[in-house]
Amino acid sequence: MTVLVDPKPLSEFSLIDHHNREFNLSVLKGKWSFLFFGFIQCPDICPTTLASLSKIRSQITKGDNTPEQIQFIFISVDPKRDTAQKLKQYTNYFDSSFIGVTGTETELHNLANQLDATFDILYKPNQTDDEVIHTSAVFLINPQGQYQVLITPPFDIETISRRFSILRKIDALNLTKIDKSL
Amino acid sequence: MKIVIRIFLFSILSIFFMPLIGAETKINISHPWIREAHPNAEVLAGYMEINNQSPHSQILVGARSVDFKSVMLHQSITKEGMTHMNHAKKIEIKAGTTLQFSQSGFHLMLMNPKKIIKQGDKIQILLEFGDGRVLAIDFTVRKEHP
Repeated sequence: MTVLVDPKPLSEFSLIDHHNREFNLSVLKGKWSFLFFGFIQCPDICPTTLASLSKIRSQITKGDNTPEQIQFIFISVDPKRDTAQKLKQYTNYFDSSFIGVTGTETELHNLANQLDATFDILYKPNQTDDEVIHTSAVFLINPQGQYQVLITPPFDIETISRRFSILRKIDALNLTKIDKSL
Repeated sequence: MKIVIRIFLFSILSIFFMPLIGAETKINISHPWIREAHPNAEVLAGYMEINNQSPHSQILVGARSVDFKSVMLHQSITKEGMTHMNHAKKIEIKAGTTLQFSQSGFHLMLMNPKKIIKQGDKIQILLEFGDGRVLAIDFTVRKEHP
C-alpha cells in the first residue's frame, strides 16, 4: 500500500456505469473510491480481487454511519463484451454496492493513464484465446478527486482496512484545519 | 477349456496392467475446488494441488468435464504490476514435488458451464496426463479457498 505524498488531482473523464448513467470525475468527488480495472471473463485475478474488496468494504464500513461515502468501482476494460447489464449482474454478485463501469477505449485509457495503469485486449477469432493484460493493483481516490493510494496484491484485508481508517482520519483533520484557516 | 483360457488371459492382463494401477496412486490431487461465480458467468476457475510421488515427471496436458463446453490450463502471471493470463499447453509436475493450482497462478479455466454451478456442488473434471492416464476428480464449488 503506497500513499502518495502529493496526491495527484485527476482530470475529467467520461465513462458509463452499470445503470447506463454518466460516470465522471464528479461521481468520485466527495467520496473515497476504490478503483479496480478488470473484465468479466477474467476467471482468476478479478474475482479474487473483488472478493477481497468486498471483505475490505465490510471491514471499513463496520460501525460506520456513512458507508455511502466509500465506493468500490470495477472498471471493465472489455467494453465489447461487458455490457451494462452484465456488469450489473457481475458486480452485484460480489457486493450489491459495487459499481460496474466501462466506456470507450479512449476514455478508459484516459482514466487509466492518469493512474499510471495500463491494459490491453487482443481479440482473437477463437474467444478462448483472447489475450487481456491489465493492471492488478487497486487505486484509491480521495474525496477531493485525487489519486492518493496504490494498493498492490496480495491484498491483506486487515492491514488495508486499518491503514484506510487512519488515512481517512488524517484527511478529515486536514480538511478541518483548512476550514479553520479560511 | 474356454474357462481355463479366460482365467489365463485374465491373469496375464492383470499382471500386465498392475504397474499402471500402482502408478496411478502416485499422483495425488488434494483440495480440488471451483470458485463459485455469478449465475450467468461464462468462465470459472478451478484450483487444486497435484502431488507427484512417482520417480518421473508427470505432464498435465489437458482437462475436460461434461459440465463445461471446454476446460483449459491457464496461468495468471503478474509482472511489474501487470497481470495477464497464459494458455498453458502442458504443465510439468516434477518427481517428488507438489504443484499448486492457486489464485493468481495456475488454474483450470472452465468455459461455458452447461448448468448453474453453485456453492456445494460437486463437479467431476477429468485430468489428462501425457502418458495417457486420466484422473477423474470431484471438485467442490466454494466461495473461498478451503
